[in-house]
Amino acid sequence: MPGTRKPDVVVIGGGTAGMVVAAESTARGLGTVVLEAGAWRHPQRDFSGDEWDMLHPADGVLRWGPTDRAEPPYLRELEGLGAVFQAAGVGGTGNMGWGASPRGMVRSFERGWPFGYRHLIEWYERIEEALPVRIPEALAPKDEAFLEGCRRLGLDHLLGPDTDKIGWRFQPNAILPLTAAATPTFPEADGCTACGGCISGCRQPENAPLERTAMRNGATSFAPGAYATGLLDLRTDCQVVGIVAEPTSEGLHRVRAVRYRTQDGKVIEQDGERFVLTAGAIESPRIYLASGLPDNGWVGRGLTTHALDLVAGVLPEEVDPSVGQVSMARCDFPGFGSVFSLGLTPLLAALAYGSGHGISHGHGPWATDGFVVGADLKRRMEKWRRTLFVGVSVDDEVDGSNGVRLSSGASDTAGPVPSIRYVPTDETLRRRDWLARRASEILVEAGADPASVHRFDLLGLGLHLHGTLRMGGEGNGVVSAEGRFHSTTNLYCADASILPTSLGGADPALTVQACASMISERIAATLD
Amino acid sequence: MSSTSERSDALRALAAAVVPGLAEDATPGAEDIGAEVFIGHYLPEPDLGGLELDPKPADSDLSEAAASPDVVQRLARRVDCCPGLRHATLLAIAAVYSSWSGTDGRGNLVGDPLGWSLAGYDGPARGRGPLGA
Repeated sequence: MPGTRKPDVVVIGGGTAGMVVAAESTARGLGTVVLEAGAWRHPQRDFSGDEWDMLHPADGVLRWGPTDRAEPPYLRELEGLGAVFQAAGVGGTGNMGWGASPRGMVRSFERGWPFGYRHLIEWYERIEEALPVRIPEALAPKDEAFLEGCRRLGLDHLLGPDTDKIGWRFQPNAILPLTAAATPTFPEADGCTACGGCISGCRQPENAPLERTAMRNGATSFAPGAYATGLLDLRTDCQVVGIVAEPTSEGLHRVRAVRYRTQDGKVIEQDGERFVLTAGAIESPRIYLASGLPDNGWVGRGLTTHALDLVAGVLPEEVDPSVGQVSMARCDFPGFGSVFSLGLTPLLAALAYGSGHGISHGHGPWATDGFVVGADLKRRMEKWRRTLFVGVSVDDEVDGSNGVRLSSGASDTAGPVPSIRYVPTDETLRRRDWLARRASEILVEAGADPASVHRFDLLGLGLHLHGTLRMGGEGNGVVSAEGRFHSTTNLYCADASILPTSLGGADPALTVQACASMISERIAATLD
Repeated sequence: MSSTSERSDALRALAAAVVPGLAEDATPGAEDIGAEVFIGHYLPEPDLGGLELDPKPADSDLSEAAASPDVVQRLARRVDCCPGLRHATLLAIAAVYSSWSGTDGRGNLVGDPLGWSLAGYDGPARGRGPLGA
């Protein structure tokens, strides 16, 4: 029974990666404790469908903070970033994602990784089946328009899951396929209802059980199975504040326990055999650093974010930018990154217009760029139904000066808050500019009036966060190819922190979960 | 520390500049829906980076004037280096384009939110058949 003996595995964070570790560990018969800072919410009961209520960084349901929304959110200091998106609760940021689940680009594994792309394929396939990941069979108007632009540019249609050359493809998606039902209610509807609300927390179809909720993530695909084994002890509202370790005779550290803080302020120690950090690329290094464990110079360093950007153009016909899965089509440019169709509701579109750089950074095929407010914002929003939005995700360079460290001044209930820096390198900005040009060309070929094409030039958007506890050798990495910290005998990391590159610009969730699956097997092998 | 009245005036002026009412079609803007209450709720002591905006009464012609290119350019010059100004700007936008502007005091949706009307949005698509078929 959970809680009656020392657990085999203690998982710190029940998000995208943590629930994979929990599912894999319990499936192997290992007693597993998951310590999650937020709640385990059920979409039908706890997701309101109101974007603002769900997403607001101060008191939204999916914010990074205590479950009690009257309490303030957890703090962070930002340099070079306008916002960082983290979510507390089982499923983590997977609850506010858009389901895009491509594999990492083949070329991105050729630098910095301790193994190649082919090594990870069996783990990719395992997660693709478990989530599951599906290729859209029917597209929404926005995605049809995007692909029409790609076709007219003469770009190739890529088939299969490997991304090793330039071309467009249907977006591999961890969202169940569109349902053919005339009503949005389960069981008549069984799959995605095309409501476009993915980012605000999917609760479609109405009345669906967790196992048939359209959005697949740690909470919907992995938590129920792990719980059903009877070996999972999932503790919510438990924020880990430190790791307790003792030196070994080999000059390493052996972790004895983790300390966590409950909602009523009690600090409790949890012992275990193996400990796995899966709190994400900001919290995992924060917890490690706050615990005073050894730093080889790379702990917290090397943050990548994909330097996300956005380009939009107005088409002659309506494309209903909120209808459909958020992104159902993409075009990859190995060496530079990706561009993809992106569905935005009026709120998200208007916020994006107000999130551009105030000062223009250059010229291109776009007619306008940067910050838009005032009467211009209203005029653009009046054309929202005819606006096609194209996202830009950059294969951004690793720079050791970007990352997470502990604030020297600010602290909250968990101790010193993370201070996060991300300033793109010149090469990253060059790639970003190059991709924005390709996005502009796709828009014009799709029928957009060239005079309407607008590059947002977003001020640092921390939506994809990775690379702060890099996998690699002892000289250039923090954890080994098995996910174990070089400095310890029994502490592992299995979240986005370990990615040594930004995957060529591909969305990270699938690769993170594939790595978590692989690391879970390695951990289990040490307990045989 | 500014007084409550001065702070409210500053937020109202900012809201009018960020999402103004358009004089030509009498469409209401952030100022008209009380966005300063919304901004004040989430950002009670905003640092607007020294930006000076002339508070205007709630009049659509004057709101349009408040959103003149000059005001917008002043906002743009400061917004990259003043997080408080950026946050207040985004809150003003959210006050119009989120469902908040269609809810009553208890948060119940009682009508089409203003931003949905401005954008021609019908609300989330529900129960659609296969797309592109």
